[in-house]
Amino acid sequence: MKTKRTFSATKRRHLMACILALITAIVMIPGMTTYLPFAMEERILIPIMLFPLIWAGLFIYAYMAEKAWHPFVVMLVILFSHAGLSYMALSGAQT
Amino acid sequence: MKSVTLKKLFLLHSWVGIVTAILLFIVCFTGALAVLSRPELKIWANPELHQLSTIPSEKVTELINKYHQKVPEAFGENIHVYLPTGHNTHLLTLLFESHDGDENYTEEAAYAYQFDPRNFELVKEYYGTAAYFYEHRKTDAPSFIGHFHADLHLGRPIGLILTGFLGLTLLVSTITGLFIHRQLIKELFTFRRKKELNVVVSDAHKIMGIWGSLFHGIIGLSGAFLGLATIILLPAAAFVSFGGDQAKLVERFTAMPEPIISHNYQATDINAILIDAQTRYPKAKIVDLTVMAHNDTNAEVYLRLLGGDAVASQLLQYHGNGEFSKSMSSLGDIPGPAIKVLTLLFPLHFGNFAGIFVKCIWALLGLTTALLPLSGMMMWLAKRSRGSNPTLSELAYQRWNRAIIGSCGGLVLASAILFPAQVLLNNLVAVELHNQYFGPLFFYSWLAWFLLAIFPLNYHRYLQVTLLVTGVSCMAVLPLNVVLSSSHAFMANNLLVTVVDISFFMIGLFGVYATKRINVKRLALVEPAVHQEVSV
Repeated sequence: MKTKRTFSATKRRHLMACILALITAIVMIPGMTTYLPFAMEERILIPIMLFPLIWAGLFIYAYMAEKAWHPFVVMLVILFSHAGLSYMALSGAQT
Repeated sequence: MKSVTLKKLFLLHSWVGIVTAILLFIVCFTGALAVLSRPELKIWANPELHQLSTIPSEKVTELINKYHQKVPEAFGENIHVYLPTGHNTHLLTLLFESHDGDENYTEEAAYAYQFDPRNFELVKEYYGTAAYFYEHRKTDAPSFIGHFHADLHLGRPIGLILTGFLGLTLLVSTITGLFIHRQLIKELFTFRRKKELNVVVSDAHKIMGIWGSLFHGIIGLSGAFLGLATIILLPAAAFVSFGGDQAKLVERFTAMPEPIISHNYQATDINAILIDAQTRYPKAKIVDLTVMAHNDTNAEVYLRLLGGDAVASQLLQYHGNGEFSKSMSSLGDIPGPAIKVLTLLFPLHFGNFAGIFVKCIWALLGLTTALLPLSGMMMWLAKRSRGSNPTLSELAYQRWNRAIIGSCGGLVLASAILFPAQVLLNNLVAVELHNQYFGPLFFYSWLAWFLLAIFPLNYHRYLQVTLLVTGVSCMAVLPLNVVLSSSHAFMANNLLVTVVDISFFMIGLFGVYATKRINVKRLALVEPAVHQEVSV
């Protein structure tokens, strides 16, 4: 009889939780500074303050999601969108 | 909550705990000691600070003016004065710094003069790079442990990133732990101390985890912030916000901007500034001051204050003529509520916001944070080694236990050894040689104790001996101090020294008593098994 495992795609979830969640959370911080509707200092400090909670949320979500590809897609979308926003902010400032 | 969700959370809690347990214990145990390291244990460790009262402001002013004459002009642009309060250097230190160096150094260079705070005698002179001076300041047992807690002596940024990451894992363990222990109220009051060891450890784990959950969460959050914010997050966020303009970034986030030097003479009234700060904040302690463009019309003086009515440390800015400019957070004059929350993270992490009583509570809670991963690991091992089909053999179980005792117990022992060593060093070894002893003593004793785990010792006996050596080390502090030192529990006329000496003795006594208790507990567990065997 085949026993049902608690987690599907365990290795992928480990990778997502340990590496992708950390990279996503770190990239989110400068990215968030480009769109938060606050004063300059608040825009920088609020994402930093939220970083531990963002990482913890992504880390837990990587394991708790029913399908392993859900957190993968969510993290990639967040990662690329925030990396793009940071890139635009930097290249926009230089032109 | 669905049972599968709970199972997932339980597994996640276990995995995170198992992977980080030993490192988390190391960081949290040393963190609990570090809470009391500055100023209490640092004052105890340095006889120069035993009889200390406030340094007269006129004397500080006089020394700054006198030694400013002795250094080249460029070194008068930045003068740092570290007052011997037990928070930084043990001597009154004047550091004249030139950011651009001089003819001998291309990096930041400094002239430093250190004075005995009891008689203001010049004890040490230094000329060289500022970084070398800070790196080679005299250390002591409590400072060594404090630095080890911050970056595991791996240096920055690696050490800080590692401890910051451990803060994140502590946060995840706290969150998942709260979800899996749903019967919070029941578990808050369940401690079956007369049951077998596994039950006692499990109950203790839940009680420590749930009662202290807010504390563990705050320590995890603030630890992650302290480790990662200044190294990765702030530079990255600020870099994007300022469009890559490093100069603007530094200008915005520098608490003490460089004034423009006018080269017009005007005496900087440091005496009046110190008196004014003490009048404004009588309960606060001035820890250090920075004088910029000394004796120039554009001079600025910054004072860092701790304690008093303010929860977090504060920075006072004065103009050179003695006029008070403003009070700000130690991170700088940044507007908005976010900076207020961020500055609160520091005292919440260090527990230094409401006197020694709160610090003691913080140290005790810190010990529970250290014991949580340890008890969790014991539960995990016990679960896998019992039942009809155990996944962990008896031999593997014993090896695991020895490894835990060697690494975690070894750390406790290595930390305990530093304190009698401090007394011996203070009385038998020249001060300038002290720094050479702490690292080897700490790491080699820890390594030696850990290597003992390789041998097939009875792990109960191993734990017993660890506790005994730790206890004896702590107990040795008081008699060593009485025999060797002229400033000890019964002579110092300093309540702090008396309390610390006696506390070490009591903690040591408790360690020795625990050794006996483990023996009794072991016999109590072994005896029924023997009887059972006979009856069969």
